[in-house]
Amino acid sequence: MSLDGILIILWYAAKPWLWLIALLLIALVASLWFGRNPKGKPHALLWPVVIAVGILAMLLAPTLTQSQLSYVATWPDRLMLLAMGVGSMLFCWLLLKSWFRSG
Amino acid sequence: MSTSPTQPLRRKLLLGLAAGATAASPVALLAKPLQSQAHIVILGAGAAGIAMANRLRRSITGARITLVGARAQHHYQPGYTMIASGLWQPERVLSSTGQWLGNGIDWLTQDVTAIDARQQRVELSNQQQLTYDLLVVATGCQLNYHEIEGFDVSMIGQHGIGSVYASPAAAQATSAQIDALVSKGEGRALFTLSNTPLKCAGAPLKMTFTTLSRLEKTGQRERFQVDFFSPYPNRVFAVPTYNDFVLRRWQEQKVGFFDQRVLTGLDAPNRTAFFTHSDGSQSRELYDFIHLVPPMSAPDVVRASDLVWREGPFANDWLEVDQYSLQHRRYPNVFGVGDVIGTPFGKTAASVKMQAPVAEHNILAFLSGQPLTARYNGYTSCPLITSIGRAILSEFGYEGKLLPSFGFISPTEESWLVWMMKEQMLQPAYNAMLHGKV
Repeated sequence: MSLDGILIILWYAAKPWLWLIALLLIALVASLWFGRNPKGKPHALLWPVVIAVGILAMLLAPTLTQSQLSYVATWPDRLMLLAMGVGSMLFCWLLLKSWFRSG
Repeated sequence: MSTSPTQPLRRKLLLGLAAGATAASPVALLAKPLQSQAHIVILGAGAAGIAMANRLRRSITGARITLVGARAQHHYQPGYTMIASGLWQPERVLSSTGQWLGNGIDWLTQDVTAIDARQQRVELSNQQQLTYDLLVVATGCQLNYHEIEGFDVSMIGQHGIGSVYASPAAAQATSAQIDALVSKGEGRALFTLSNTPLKCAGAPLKMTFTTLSRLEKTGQRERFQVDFFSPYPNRVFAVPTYNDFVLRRWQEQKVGFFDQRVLTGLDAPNRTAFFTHSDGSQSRELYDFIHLVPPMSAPDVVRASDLVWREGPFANDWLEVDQYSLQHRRYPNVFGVGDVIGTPFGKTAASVKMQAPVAEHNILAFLSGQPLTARYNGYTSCPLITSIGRAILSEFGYEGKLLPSFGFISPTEESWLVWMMKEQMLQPAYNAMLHGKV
């Protein structure tokens, strides 16, 4: 399958979720904008929370797709699951890093 | 390419108009719209017809494109197995036909009732007659449930009868019958296969696998007997790789396998199925749930026309086309796309995705008087659900050759990623196909 074909299909797949993507982006931009001058140090719990979100995303992803964790069996399956976990962690970290601080 | 018994009436005119409008290669043919005043009639407003109408509308200017099909509601048929497996609601596969059609396509909400290929004319259900310069037959296939004695489509959802093919409502009723079996806590489930070419030939296998998942989920799988009846010797799928996998898995899952038996009759109130064996003898089987697969063919209007195969394995049942160019073998101004065509493979939505650009290239070449160079390789794809939550991405073409699209996905391994593709990505891909974008 050609790259443009894949991109077109991804676009069609994303279309019903554009509202959610927009909402997440707005939340991210707002967080980065209002937290552009952070005070204090990152909270000690920031990374544990971020990691917990990533793990939770990885545990829930198969169930949310009407499957189960034991069916994540091939290396592309594991890579996809890992990407979902890392993506969730990254988003969570970007969202919280300016606000979840101590002192 | 065989020659036509009659020279198309306006062929010279069409050639004159198209000459000089294009370069020689198919790629160049699509680089800019072709100028033509041809009247292109597309029979069938399903997936293949809509995809062809949108593609030809974009690639030809000046032509009149008429789409013929009475069905106002469009069904995403690959979703039927998801509904019958209790995973989707019917609404998820419904849309209106009109929403998929681009501007400049004349849609006649009638059915075709006769095709006169010699006179280049079709007749519609409102008695209207249409003449064409080029005909695309994309009517889909006909479900011949009536060939099962004692059975009527209205019985789906009653007496333990299910059939995924008939409609979204029938798929939902099938799921309800499976639920009834599960609730009963014990019983016998029969799954059948017909002895004709099938659209989505993996669907009967998927239904068996997803029902097994539901029965296993009860924790009392041993209380249910699951049997599969196939008309073919030791075969349930045409591609040996997948056939062997399925039979091996069913053996592990304790599914009874009975081959060379065709379902020919049903006594619904008494939940009894009648099978005819390859030696002509008959047997009866009691069941609590049965999944029926109807014999299939091209619609009667195609079978009654001169466009049907006159000899060979598809004789009198399917549209005669060259399996590579998709051009009719006797009427060069007729092309076929989708479930209606008589080719060894190619009766899935994914097949249409590959056939539509081939037919488009070759139609443009035909209108330009150039050789038809685009080739359909028989590509057929079916995410073979082996359990609720995982699937194998089976992709193959003529002679059963495996044709994997993604190098990183094994064509023989069960995978969650493939399940996600089936569950989340195939419908967007299908929608893009309807718009003629992929």
